[in-house]
Amino acid sequence: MSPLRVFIVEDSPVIRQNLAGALEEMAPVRVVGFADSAADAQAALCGRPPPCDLAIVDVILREGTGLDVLRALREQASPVTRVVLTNYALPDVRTHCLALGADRVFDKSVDIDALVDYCNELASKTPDAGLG
Amino acid sequence: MPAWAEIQARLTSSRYLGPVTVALATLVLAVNEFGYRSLERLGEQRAVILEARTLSDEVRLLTLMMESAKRGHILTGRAVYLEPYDEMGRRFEPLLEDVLALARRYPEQRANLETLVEAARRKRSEMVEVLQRFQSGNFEGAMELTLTEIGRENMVRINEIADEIRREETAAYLQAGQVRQSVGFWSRAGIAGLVLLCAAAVFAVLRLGRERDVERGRYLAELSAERDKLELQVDTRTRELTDLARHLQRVREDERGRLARELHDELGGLLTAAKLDVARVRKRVEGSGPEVAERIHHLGQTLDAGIALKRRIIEDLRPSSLANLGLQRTLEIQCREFAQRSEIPVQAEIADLKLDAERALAVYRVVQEALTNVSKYARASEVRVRLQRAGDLVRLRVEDNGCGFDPARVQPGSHGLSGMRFRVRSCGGELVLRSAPGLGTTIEATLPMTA
Repeated sequence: MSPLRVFIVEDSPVIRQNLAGALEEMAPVRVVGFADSAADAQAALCGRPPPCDLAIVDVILREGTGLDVLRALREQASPVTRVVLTNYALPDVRTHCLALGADRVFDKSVDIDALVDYCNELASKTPDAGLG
Repeated sequence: MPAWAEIQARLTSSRYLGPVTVALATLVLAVNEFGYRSLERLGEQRAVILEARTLSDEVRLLTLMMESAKRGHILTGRAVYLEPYDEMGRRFEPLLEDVLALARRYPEQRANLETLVEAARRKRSEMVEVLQRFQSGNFEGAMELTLTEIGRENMVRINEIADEIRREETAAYLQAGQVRQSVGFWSRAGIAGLVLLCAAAVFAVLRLGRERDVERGRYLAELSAERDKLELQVDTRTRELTDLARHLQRVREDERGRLARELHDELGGLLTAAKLDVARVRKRVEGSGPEVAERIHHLGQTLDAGIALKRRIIEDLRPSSLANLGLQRTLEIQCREFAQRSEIPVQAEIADLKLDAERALAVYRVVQEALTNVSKYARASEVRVRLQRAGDLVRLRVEDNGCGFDPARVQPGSHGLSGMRFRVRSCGGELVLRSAPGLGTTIEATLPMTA
């Protein structure tokens, strides 16, 4: 089973490092890249073929928001699966993100385990993930 | 004419005018009184002189008539001539007594009058002697006595004295006229002066009144100007203080925002990293026994509690939901969370109003402060929060059914009231507090929808 390729859009280095380490340790994933602003994320993710299978996007970024990233990916009809990992997992934000094409919305504080489970599940559903 | 004007001003100034008027009035009074006394004295004198003249004329007349009767009798020898002589003779002595009485009252003419009486008596004794001689038949003796100068001299003397008294009476009359004229003149002059002075006094008083009016007007104007200046100063200071308070409020909000951001970004990152580590460790120590698993589980719970605390602090510091969810949802969440935390049911009736950030924050902070007060002091069993629109106004009302208090006995600055009030006022609104012991507390804020 090839590891799931993950791209992290997150402006906090601490979370970036720890998230990458934790995911790679607990799920069959490989973190293939980072971005800390909406523009960088769009530039990296909208290439063809896409550089990853899963994009984990934070809402608040150094510049722009995760919502911009989601909107861009939807406009491109990108095949990349998108999930949101945020500290602002309020009902409104959640609804908004789902409407913009996010598959799931995770809370940074309480949904870490759920995110790991989700990655495991997604990896198992994507047998040839590493071949894109 | 400035010199004249100055003299006039000095003369009519109240300092000199009063004494001068009083002095002149006294002088006029004195002149009048003196004149009156003089005229009275002259009148008395004239009455005496008049009496002296009348008496002296009568003495002369009586003497002449007696002389005439005596001569008639001597010439004719007829007794009929003696009748008037006898009659005059009876009146003669009482008349002389009158003259002497007058002489005692009238020292100036005493000598004259006494001389007159003496001359008259001598004349009479001469006439008596002549008649005695004639009646006793001694015609020669009678004639001899008649031919002597004695009778004539006495008669001349009587005439002289009577004339003198008449002259003096005339002189006194003239003198009285002169005095009357002089007194009249001085009285007239004094009254005229007094009237002039009175007119001047009236003028001065009017002038003084006018000056005082002008002075008072100036004083009032100065007072008014001073008051305007003070009001302006108060306005300026108030504006400065309001600006300062607004600035401090903004600084405080900024600071809260910065703190919230830091807590969110830095502390949030650390807590998330810790959670990630816990997940990793948990996976690694799987099967190491229930004790380790329990500690790991406890660590996870502790971290969750820390995360929840951080969230609450951040929401208190800066309600991120205001920007994300809008005022209605934020207030509903605020009320729900308050109800959960304080176990006091909250009935929230929040309209969906579009307010700018400053107003939304003000409403949020008022609700926050009011609910804090409810949980701290009210001992309420129910709270109602209502936000609604009334025309161009937003009306916020937070009421509880708690113990209430007497607003007059609470320091204006306490219970965050002044803070709430200031916040509402800086949005152009007004905050009203109604409470009484045992009757709960109602806070009502009314502010315009837009700036």
